[in-house]
Amino acid sequence: MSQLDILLVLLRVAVGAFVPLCFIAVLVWLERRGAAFFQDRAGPNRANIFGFRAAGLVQNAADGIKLIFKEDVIPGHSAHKFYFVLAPLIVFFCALVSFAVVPFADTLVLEGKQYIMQGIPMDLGILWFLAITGFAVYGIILAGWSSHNKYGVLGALRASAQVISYEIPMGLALVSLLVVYGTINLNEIVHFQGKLLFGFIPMWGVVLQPLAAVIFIVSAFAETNRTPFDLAEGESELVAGFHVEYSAMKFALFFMGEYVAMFVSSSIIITLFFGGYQIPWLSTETLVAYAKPVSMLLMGLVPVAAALFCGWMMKNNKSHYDRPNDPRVREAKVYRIIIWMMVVVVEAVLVGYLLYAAGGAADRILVVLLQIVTFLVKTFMMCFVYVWVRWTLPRFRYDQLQLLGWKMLLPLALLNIFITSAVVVALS
Amino acid sequence: MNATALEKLQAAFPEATISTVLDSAVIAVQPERLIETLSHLKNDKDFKFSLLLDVTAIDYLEYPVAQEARFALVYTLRNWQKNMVVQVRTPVHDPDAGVPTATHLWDSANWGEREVYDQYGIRFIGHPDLRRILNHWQFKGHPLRKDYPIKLGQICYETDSMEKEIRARLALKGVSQSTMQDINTEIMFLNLGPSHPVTHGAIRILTALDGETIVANVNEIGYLHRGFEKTAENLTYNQVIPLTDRLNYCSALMNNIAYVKAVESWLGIEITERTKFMRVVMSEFFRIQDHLVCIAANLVDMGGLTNYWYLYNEKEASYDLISRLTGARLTSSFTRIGGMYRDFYEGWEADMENHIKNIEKGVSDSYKLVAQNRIVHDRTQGVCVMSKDLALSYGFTGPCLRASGVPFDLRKDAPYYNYDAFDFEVPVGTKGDLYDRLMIRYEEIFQSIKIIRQAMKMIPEGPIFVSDHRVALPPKSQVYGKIEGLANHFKLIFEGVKTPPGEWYDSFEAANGELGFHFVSDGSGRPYKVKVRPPCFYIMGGFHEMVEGSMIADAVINLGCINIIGGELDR
Repeated sequence: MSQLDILLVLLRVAVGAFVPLCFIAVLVWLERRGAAFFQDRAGPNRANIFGFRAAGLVQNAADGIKLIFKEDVIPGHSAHKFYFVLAPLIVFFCALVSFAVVPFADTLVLEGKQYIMQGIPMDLGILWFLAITGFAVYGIILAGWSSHNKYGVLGALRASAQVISYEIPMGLALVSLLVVYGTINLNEIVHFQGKLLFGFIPMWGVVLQPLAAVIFIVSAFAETNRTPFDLAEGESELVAGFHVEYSAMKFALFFMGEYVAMFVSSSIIITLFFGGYQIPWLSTETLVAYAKPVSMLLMGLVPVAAALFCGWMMKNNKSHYDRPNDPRVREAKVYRIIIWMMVVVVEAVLVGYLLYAAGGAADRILVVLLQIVTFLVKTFMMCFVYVWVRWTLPRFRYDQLQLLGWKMLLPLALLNIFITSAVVVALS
Repeated sequence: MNATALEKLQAAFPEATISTVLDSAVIAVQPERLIETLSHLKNDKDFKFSLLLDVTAIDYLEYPVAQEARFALVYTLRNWQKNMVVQVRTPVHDPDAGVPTATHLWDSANWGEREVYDQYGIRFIGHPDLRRILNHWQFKGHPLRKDYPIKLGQICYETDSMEKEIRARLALKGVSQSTMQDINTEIMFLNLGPSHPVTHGAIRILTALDGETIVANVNEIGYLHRGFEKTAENLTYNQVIPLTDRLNYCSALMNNIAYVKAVESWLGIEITERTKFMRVVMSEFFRIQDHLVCIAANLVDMGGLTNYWYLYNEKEASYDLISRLTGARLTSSFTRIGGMYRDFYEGWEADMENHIKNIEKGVSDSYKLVAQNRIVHDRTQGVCVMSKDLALSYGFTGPCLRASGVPFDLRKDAPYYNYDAFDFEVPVGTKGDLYDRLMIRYEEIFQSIKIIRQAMKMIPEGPIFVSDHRVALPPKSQVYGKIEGLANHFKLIFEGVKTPPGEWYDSFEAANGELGFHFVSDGSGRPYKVKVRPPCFYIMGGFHEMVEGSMIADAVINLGCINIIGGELDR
């Protein structure tokens, strides 16, 4: 194993583990600010460190610190304290590990060696995701059961019934998808989506399999237990459902697990239906071949984007009443300086690349970086859809949820398999 | 009540003494004839008093005029088609021996009689579930009896298991003991509340569950009982007004208005035109507030939090006007007997127009999210249905009764304060399900806005207080300058507004339904007795009928939909 190998393994593991963890903070922020946006209010915007609020991100730090220092209560009436402690670990761990198979960039070819850009290099692909998310429900069941609380048990029952019923349409939607793609390897699936249909439409899963996309997305929402499928915790009915007895960091693990799960299922939806890390119309080969013009384009676009963002920020980040020496304006000025410094660094790197390293390995590294950014942006947008739906729709009732799963999604998924198979057989 | 109806009543009950008080007829009968009379009033085609509004009792222990017996029992009935109110009175010679129950005639008698038993200790023979309702089960004595020592503190802290009641309810539903014990069909008991996100206060809903389906349900109220009626007996009429704020605290001003309207009608005071319009504007404005809270909370229970903000932001903004006008956000205490505390401030029209415009927008936004939403439809349509007859039997009034298809609204059927001059419609539901109850509230908001707009155009200038020296404080120049003025001021403040001796019932269409006040006056400045007829008390009495057979999630949204307000439920 060369040093390069070790470096890339570290890089992969780092991205595979830390990106979901970092996204917890981003998603909690997105959830709260997004909710506020939909609901005509401001959302958390007061917590600060020396006056720097980072658009409300500092609130997460405050919440985290609060949760760490809270009393960690294990109910005395619970007879299964080991499972009680184990349950949040299962939920969090499963959510985190299921990201390991999602490719966040195309395979990097360096010195003739291939480096797969995913957390764990293995060929299980989508099956790994299905297996691990199916396992996560054990955490919820254990939590509800070991809490020895009726609300907890009801929440756990709802969660398990829901996950089991929605895994079936989800799996069946995948079957028709796999018939089209002909592989379970997620990287190959993304490759497939880099092609063009009729020469101008990207062959994304959502174009080829719109019905499967709808079924899969609905099921994915149900799997992550989010509104309109948040019956397991439905706060108005079951108080907090399966995690009603949890406090402090054990509660936080459930909470963070939910956001990791949301991130992972967004990334899976992106990978399966929205071209994964692919930039539309620009496949990996194209990008590598035209690395120079792309980097020049970036050199032009980055300052423009920074200028637009800074303008917007300076306009909005100020107090809504007269304050002497407005600290918010001062804050925005500091952000502006930081942003322009970052722009300078990016420009310097790009200039350095163009002058000294263009052609060869640097091209491929540039493309990988671009694809990681694309992947994260797409995932972020899908997460926004999650937030959007949550703050728009009310919750299903338990039996209606089952009806939707078994009587609507399941037959539709089966129908989709028949149609897809017929078309695929006819075409081949 | 008109003369022909009175003649008919006299003809039907030749032995009873019938008198008219305000708009209602009072029939005095002996306890032996009570049930016969009530059942005749309910079932006879001429009368059809399908609503039992309220049951209460009076303790005459300290009453200056000697009565036939220490206790008297009063049933207040209403015929909603012809808008007739009848009060049936009977003396109770021995409260421990009791009087026969009317629970087989009206279901609302169940909770009504329980309250009488709790507060006065009058037993009802044949009552299926005679136990305390507002006071704690360990409480000793009956607080509304005049000889109850009010300074006696009682600390009760043991919860009522209610196991007996829920098992009786299960048996009534045909669930046998063996079914309950068999592990495959075992029943799970689950308490929703008293402290639960859905109760929006403190109510205990004990359910017996088969899976998620509610097989049987019994409820415990009284967590917010603070003895409104007992307190009121020790205050002057005007001092009671701040207490009425705390009845339905979502629409505090409506209670103020309802209360003073009841007192004024007995005094025979004709308030000024401007006051009438002010009261209409404010009560419709508060009706909107009340419905906004109800819909918002209801949709939160359903999981749609965004609706809550669309509605609640506007309610919150309305408090600017309310606090500017009344000086308080929640506890307005804005009315006085004979008028209002203050006139509108300058420029209120613009503020009001601005607020109702915003409310219209917020409500329309929320309506758009709900009206075509399949999940909302599935959750609400055909769920927790209350049929017309059952709703009447349980004494439903207001939006919940109209949702069941009974077009009864006091503003239309017994107009007060010039309501007949306004052009507005009363929305009526068809099925009596959650959907109807929700949508009726949406529509009533728009109708109330319509009334406010009309009233704002019609409101005349003029005084806001009557010049009657019996109720109105004299101007300060007279208080400080003349002995008569000073004496008048002193007497009004210390002794209160003197009302002629007598008993009367007066009602008002509050946001939740008919808010009635039953007064007994001994001629002094303090009410001898006040009984509130809170609309949601009787609606809560029918809660189990709506939720049995549906699921936990339905019960949760149903509780929000019938708009239970602890303040008036428990008083």
